[in-house]
Amino acid sequence: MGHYQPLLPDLILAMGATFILLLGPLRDSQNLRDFLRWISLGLVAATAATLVWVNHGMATPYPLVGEGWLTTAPLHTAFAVVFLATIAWTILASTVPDEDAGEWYSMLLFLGTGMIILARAANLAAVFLGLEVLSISLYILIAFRYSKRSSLRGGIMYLLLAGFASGFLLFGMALIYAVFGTLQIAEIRTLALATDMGPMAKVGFGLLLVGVGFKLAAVPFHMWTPEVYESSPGTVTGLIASSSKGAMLAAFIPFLFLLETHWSIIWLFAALSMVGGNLLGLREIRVKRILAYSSIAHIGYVLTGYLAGDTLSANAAFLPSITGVNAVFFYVVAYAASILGAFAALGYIQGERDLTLRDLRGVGRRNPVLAFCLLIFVWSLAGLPPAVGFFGKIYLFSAAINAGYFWLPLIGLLGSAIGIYYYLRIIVHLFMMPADASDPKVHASTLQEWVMLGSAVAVIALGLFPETIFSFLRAF
Amino acid sequence: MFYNNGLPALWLIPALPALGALIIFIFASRMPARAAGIIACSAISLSFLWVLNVGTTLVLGNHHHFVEHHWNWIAAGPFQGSASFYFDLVTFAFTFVVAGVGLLIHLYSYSYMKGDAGERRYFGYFNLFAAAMLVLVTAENAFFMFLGWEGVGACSFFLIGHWYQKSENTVAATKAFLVTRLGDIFLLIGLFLTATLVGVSFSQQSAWTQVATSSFIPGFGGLTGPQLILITGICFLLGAAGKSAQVPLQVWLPDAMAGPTPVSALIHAATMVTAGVYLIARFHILFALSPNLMLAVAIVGVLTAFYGATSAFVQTDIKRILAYSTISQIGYMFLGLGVGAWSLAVFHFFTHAFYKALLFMAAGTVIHSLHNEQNIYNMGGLRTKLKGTYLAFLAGAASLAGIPFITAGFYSKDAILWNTLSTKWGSPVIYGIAMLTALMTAIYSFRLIFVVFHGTPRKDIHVHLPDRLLTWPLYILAFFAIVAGFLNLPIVFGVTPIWEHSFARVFGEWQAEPLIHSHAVEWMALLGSGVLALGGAGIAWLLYSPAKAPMPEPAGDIATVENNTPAPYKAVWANFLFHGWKMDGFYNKTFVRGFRITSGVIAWIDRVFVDGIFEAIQAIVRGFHALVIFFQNGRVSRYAMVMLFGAVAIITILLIGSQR
Repeated sequence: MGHYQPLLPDLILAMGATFILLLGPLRDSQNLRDFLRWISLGLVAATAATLVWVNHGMATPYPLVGEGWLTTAPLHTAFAVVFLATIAWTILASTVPDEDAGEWYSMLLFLGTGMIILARAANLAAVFLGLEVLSISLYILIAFRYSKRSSLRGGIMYLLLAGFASGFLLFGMALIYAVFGTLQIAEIRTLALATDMGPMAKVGFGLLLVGVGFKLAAVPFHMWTPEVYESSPGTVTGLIASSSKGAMLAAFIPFLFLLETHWSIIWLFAALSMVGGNLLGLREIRVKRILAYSSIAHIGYVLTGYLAGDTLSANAAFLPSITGVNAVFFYVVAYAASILGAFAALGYIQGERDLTLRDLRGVGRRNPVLAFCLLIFVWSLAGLPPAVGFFGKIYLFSAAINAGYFWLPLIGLLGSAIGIYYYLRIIVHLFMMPADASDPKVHASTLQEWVMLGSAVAVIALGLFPETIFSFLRAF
Repeated sequence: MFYNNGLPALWLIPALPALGALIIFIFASRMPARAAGIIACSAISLSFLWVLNVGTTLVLGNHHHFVEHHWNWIAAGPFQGSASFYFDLVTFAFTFVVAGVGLLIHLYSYSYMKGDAGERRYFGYFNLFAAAMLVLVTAENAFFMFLGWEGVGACSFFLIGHWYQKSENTVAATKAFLVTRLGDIFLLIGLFLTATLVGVSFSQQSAWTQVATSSFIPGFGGLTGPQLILITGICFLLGAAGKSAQVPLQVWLPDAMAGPTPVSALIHAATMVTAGVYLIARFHILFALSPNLMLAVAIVGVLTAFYGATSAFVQTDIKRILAYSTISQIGYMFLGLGVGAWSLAVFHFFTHAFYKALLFMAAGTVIHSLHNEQNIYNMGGLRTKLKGTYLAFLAGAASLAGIPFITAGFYSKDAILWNTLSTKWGSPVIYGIAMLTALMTAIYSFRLIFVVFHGTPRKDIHVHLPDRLLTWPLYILAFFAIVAGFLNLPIVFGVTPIWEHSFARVFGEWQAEPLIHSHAVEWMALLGSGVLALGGAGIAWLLYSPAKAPMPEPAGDIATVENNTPAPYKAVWANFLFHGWKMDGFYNKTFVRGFRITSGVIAWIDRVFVDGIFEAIQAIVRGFHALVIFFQNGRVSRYAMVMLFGAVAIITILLIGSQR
């Protein structure tokens, strides 16, 4: 048993999810829904606590049947805790469907399980396992309002395209295994750095990058985002944009050695995403799609930081103490804090059809608290001070400049300048346009309003004290 | 809180009126209009009492000054400005006038502004002005002083434009604001130079003596110490000229009369316009170190005095006469500063504040009684109808004219004239012009008396009798306009000049000593200026007594002459003087038009090139948007196809890369 003890966090979450799935169909009542909500929260908290406790003092990768399965590196544990926090936030902020509450919470917990496995994966099989657990939960969550055609359509689109991408990923992994004879990422790293990489290995990693690029929605694998974001429930969209991508990023960090051979591909991903994402959103009027396109651009910014790697440059000019990887961590946290709130707020406003900018008119008067929170989230996404998004961008770009990349931050800055346009359009419609004949409908409970307000305060507070995020990272 | 180590707290002086303004502005919509006036008057009277408390502590305790530090306000390299207060005799003189005369004008306003639509706003800004002016004169360093400096400028703008419904009033307010802002730019440059060279605290100013002797100062492109002093001083002089309506930035003050008359009395006669005098008196060490600078100040002063007196000579609007006379009198103060008679400049400010505020308020009472009639040729014969006002006005005009031995104006002005003649910075030429100006001052002062109060009414206007709040403040001021002079009797009287003697503590060695010690010469100068004043009054009687036709001869009916009439007089020279030497027209033709042309060119460049660049960028961005959005059609098959192309592209790039 002691052999399996390190897997305790994943087990707690997965078994708890199964338990809730079984508990759900018992009886449908408000009490049960509340009970499920709190027990889910409890499970997430227990998982996070166990994760920290189990990892404490453990230096080697989790052994499982002779192979290193999950890594115990502090950065990855920190990532996992952040992702669990986003799950907990979603449990609090989402509007529970009247039926299927059990399935809802259970899927959220399975999603969390996938994320923490993926974020800590130490070998290729674990990457794939985590990714699939995460993706299958997402298919269901995206299509959760299954009585609506558009919702089902989004789920199926994601299922098809993600399946396609998984094919690329698996084939890439197979090629890598064929070349290196191991699934352990650390061993692959040593071998890859020691020898000159042949074409087969290069293609293998290239196909792996296709899979990663799809999950991150980097241009040119971004096509699915607008439809899927549009059709998912608001809080789920937030999770897709924040922690689901974040988990993939975390899993991608052990592959930093690819910068030696594949940096041009990642450079292209970053540049195309920053330009494409911002261009795509320019004339969009459906708000969730605007944020979907913006999320493409944000992945571009993150990949810019990723290119800076995890070493400190000796002749760094800006903020020399922050490595690219730390900046990526910061940005994942900052972006999650902003985008989760933004999509959740849009979820509360959403009516029957797709939410357009026009529907936002009058929200500033009707529900000033919510509108103000949305303003802060969008402000942060636009990267304006003093919100946390501003510092996130600064760290990413300065890390990239320190690592010798000049054009990429410049492209990023120009892209952001274009992006400000559509972010400001959201704010203008929220506050400065006269409402149409009917007032917009906003459904947000008191708890939800408090959660939103808390997030908005956090976005500003983290912007005022950005060091907090780094101290959190150092605590692991 | 109110006492530090037994010394009264200085921050209360500006804080009390600031609090009054705050209360008025916050609760304006919930208070009766009269309450605003009561709050404003209470705030300023408490502040005045506190000034008296602080001042008596200073004088009786024989202190040189008090300093009170609160917090660091600006700290950036050499720019160190703290929120600190400073109180010495100069501060006492200024705070006494600002709070004391200010209190009388507040009381007067309470009656004058009764029933005005903007009464609450008026008192709010009046109190705010007092607060800002008190910050200006109690600040311990020049940056903090600048806060008050800009504050009074803003309040002046608001109050000139109090009746903003009439567009010419807002135009006048804007003009006043912009012209003084022009001076403020130079003041700021001067402040920056001061901050880098010696530091802005007033207690650091003696360090200028080291600057004056250094031939190289790093960081100033090879400029020597004396050159830097000259530049800094010229910047301060221009800043002071803007605020104090001195040549060449004097054009805003006559138009500023568009505001309510108490505003003119407080801001544009007694307090704000003398801020320039305060500034130069504070930086007297800097000025005294450069003879050229002193000469510049003296020339600005005497030119302005002459300019104001000649222009006042032919005005028909009672307030504009007083405005030009204010310009002229502040010119005398600058002359006093320019010849090193620092304490006497402050003394002239002190007496001038009383008699000029008195003249403005008495004029206001006249205007009020005649239902807003301001043209003096429509007045006349008011001596019997407004007896009290007449006597008060007479006292003020006599003081302005410098009627010998009994008026304050005589003692303060004559002292400056004597110093002009006798000290090392003075000169006989300047003295001559100043004497000529004194003669003209007496003539236009008594022209006012004879035309407004003597003879018979020229127009049948019902005289509406003023109430007590409109007259009593006049009597108090009239008292001071007579007796304030006894604070500084000339030394030839065989007494000690109390004022000069006390201020020697502040100005010390920098105060100019007379080079001529002969009592006979001083007596002659004294009697000479007295004779000039009396002679001026006599000439005024010859020219403007009720028996004579109004001089100079008007082009039409002088009673219908308005301020903006192009040519009210037949004589060309009179029209020239009437329009303030046509300075407005000159500035419009040169600076304003030049500025308009320049900005037109820049606007064209902006519209065509700068906007063009951005429009081009916009078009390009939209074009790319159209390109990329084309693929986003919502079909899974197309999305999968794009993915496939992407994968193929990646593998192609990698394989091509590996062959190399």
